Amino acid sequence: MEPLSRRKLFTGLRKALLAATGALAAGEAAQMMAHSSQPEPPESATAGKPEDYAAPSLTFVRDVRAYLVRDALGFYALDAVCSHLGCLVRAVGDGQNSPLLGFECPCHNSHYDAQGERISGPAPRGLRYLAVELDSTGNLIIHRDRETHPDDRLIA
Amino acid sequence: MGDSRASFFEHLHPATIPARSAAFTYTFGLGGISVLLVLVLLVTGVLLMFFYEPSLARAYSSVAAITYEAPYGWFVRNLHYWAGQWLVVTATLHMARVVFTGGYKRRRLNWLIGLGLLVLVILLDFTGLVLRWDADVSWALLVGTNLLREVPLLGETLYRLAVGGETVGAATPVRFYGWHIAGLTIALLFLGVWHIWRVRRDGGISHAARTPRLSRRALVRTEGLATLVVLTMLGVVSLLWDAPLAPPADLNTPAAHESAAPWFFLGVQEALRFASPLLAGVIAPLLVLGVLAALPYALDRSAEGEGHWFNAAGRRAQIVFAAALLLVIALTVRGALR
Amino acid sequence: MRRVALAGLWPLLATAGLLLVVVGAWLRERTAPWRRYQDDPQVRAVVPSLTGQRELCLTCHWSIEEISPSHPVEVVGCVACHGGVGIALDEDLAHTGLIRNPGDLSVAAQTCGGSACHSGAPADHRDHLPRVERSIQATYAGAIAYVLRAFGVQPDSVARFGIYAVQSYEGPPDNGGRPVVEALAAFQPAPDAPPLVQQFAGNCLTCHLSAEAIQAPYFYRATGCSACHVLYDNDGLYKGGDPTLPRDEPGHMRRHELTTAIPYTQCNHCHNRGNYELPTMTFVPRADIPAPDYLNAIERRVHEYYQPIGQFTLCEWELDCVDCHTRREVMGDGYLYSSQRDARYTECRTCHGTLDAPPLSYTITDPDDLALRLAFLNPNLELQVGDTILMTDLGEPLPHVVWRGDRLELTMKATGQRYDVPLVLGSGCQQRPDQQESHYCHVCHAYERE
Repeated sequence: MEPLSRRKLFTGLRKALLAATGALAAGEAAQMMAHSSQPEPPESATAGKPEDYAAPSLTFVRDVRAYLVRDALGFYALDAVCSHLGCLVRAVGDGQNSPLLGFECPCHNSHYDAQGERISGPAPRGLRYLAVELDSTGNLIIHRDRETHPDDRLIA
Repeated sequence: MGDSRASFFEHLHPATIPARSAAFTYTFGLGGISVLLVLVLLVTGVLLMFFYEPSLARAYSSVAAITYEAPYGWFVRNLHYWAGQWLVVTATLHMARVVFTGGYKRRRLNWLIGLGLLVLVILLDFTGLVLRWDADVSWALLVGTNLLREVPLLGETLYRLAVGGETVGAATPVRFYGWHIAGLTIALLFLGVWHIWRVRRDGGISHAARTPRLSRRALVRTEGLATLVVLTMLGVVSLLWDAPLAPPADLNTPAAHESAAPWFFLGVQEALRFASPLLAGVIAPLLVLGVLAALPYALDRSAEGEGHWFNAAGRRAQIVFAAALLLVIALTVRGALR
Repeated sequence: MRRVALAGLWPLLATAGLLLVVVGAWLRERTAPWRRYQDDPQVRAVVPSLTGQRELCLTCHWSIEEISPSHPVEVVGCVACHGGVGIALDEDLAHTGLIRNPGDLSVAAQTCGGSACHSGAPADHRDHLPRVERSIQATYAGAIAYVLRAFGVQPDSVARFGIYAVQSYEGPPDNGGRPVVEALAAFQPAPDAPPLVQQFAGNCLTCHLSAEAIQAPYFYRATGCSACHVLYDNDGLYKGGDPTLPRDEPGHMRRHELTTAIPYTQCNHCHNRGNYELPTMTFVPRADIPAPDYLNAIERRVHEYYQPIGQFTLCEWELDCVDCHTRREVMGDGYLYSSQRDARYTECRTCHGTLDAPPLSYTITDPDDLALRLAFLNPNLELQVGDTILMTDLGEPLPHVVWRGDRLELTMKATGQRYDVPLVLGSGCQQRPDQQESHYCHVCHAYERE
């Protein structure tokens, strides 16, 4: 093995240092680009008082992107976000003049029933069943970050 | 001779150049450093664009978010700021070098293109500073745009082009942002490419005849070393000294303390203290630019002495240039010392 | 040869330099000044609903106490009261325009004030600021009047000057017939005024709500609204949770909290601190505090409360000042008074009643009653609609003195301690029925401090 010349050592070191510098700098730039100070949308919102809703009725609640359904048993809420790729689903039937038949997604045609169960289409799962409660002032409050059982109803 | 196929960077250069053109003490690399600084500004500018919001409500707070919340945002902003300020200096010094070595001889069009580049660099610095919308720049913004109104005939139109309305308001940050990232930058890139192409077409960096040649491989190596050194210096300064940020702008309240123009306009601010806005803000700067533009046309039309520092044939041009430069520097220093 | 030997060294060094720059950026990022205050450093933002503007103050001040339950940080935030540049994390920039004490009367109008806050409608009892600005503690009118009379500058002790010029505010229609003044001029001694006047200005004219406190134990306090409502310990040390405030530097509030549960020690940061000597125009601090170590807590309280030769009854040292002196007395009612005596109207009979009648009281029927709002602000008090509480001659509610059946119960505002209030009616008091003012009660019931 011939001894390493100074030139080769310097060149090798230089290339290694340059690679390290480039990697670190790229990492720092990536960290900067990954940052977001965008405020995330609220995870829950109020939806008025139970008396405001006829039985049966279907209401789309914008602030939490959910459908608030009142049937003979009580209130439940379904996440309006399609489980496929995130579009908001449309209701089939308005729940008052015509019975609520279910939901369909305008993007890739997934279909769900009135309980949010998946019927057909590319969606992998049904619509999430969101927790509905009454807060301390008697208002309905829908939680996007808490799921509950499909048989659950808020009786109010 | 080992890996003898030329690399991409080497291909950007002529096969050989006169060795003296590449000597540090001949050009000080000022043109090349200016190009490097422009590249730094473009890269850091793109990173900043991911966070800056050009609206009255969000301009200042987005700059604060870059400086205090985004990881390394302070560093990217500092790099952008110092590269911008240094670019004004290197471009001016490059122009001085061209005057004193007679580099303008037989290259009158390129001289004008270079002058245009200097004006664009200064306007880019100004529009960039205004974007942070803090107390230190708001009065400079007001004065600078009101000075546009002083231009005869075109004043109002120029004002509207810059401000986007009758007064500085909601449209102004968007306007300045558009000028800064697109309008002026595209013009800079266009003129910059043309400027460098003209240098090649006119025979490379102006030089005396019959000197030994330097291979492009050696040239690229030198440029690589210069890049590393300049980037390191820029990096060290950006680590240690922060781009300024004052409390948010409030154009509805009188300024609590003396408001200063950006350093490269201090000379104009000083002149405005004793001369009318039309004279100090429009006529005097245009006069200086006019004298500079006329330099290779009226003050030195000869071709002798090209490539020599302080060549005799260009004496008149050198003296006039030095006088103009000293006048601007003197006014600037006087303004700074207040 | 040398050139060849060094070839490649400069590029290597330059590359190393650039690497150092990049590493330096990483180091500076990790050691940002705001990170040193937190164990788990992250940027903490609040967007108060009142302003809608993002504030990062809690990044450094992350464990500071909330100022009060009625000023929650999610609603008011920090910048609305304290100013400053909320979105900066650089100390100097963030603190540009900072108002350290928003309660100071020179800034209170823009911080505490406003028609929706404490410069509101008199009918809602929300006009604190205009009243405080005219109170005798703020204008110092009484002391100025008495000194001017003592030196023959004015023939009587009617107040004509205050530390600033001010006019009477539209106070309540009935103030019990106490004499008031229409307006005060500003007392500003000229630079060539006689030495005694200048000494007065220097040594005595500095004892009012806008004056800076003497920096010594027992004297530490803030100015303006905070002089009463932000408690200071006698040692002036901060005992709260803000990591940026030193714990060992006297001159700070006890905690970053506004309160109406104000103990006597707070009033004693100004009152009972010493005496003025008119002939020399100096202030002589009392020399008997701190109380000797061998005294127990009660003895210490008796010793430190009032100055030597003070005369007071049992309740006057068992209770705190705020348990007797009402809001109108202390914070002002909008009228300009010439003396402490005119500003005060609480009497012993306000709580104890007279030989002929029990103390005045009323039953709360309105859920928005001022008494309920005052009780809400104090964690030691609990009131509800239907309770019967005492009120003063002028109708001010005393939410801390409540009828419990036949018993009259007082709850101390600062400590929550409960007392049964003895009534004059049906007692062995031998005072003449037409002489029921407090100074008559003192003749028998007060004793002098040793």
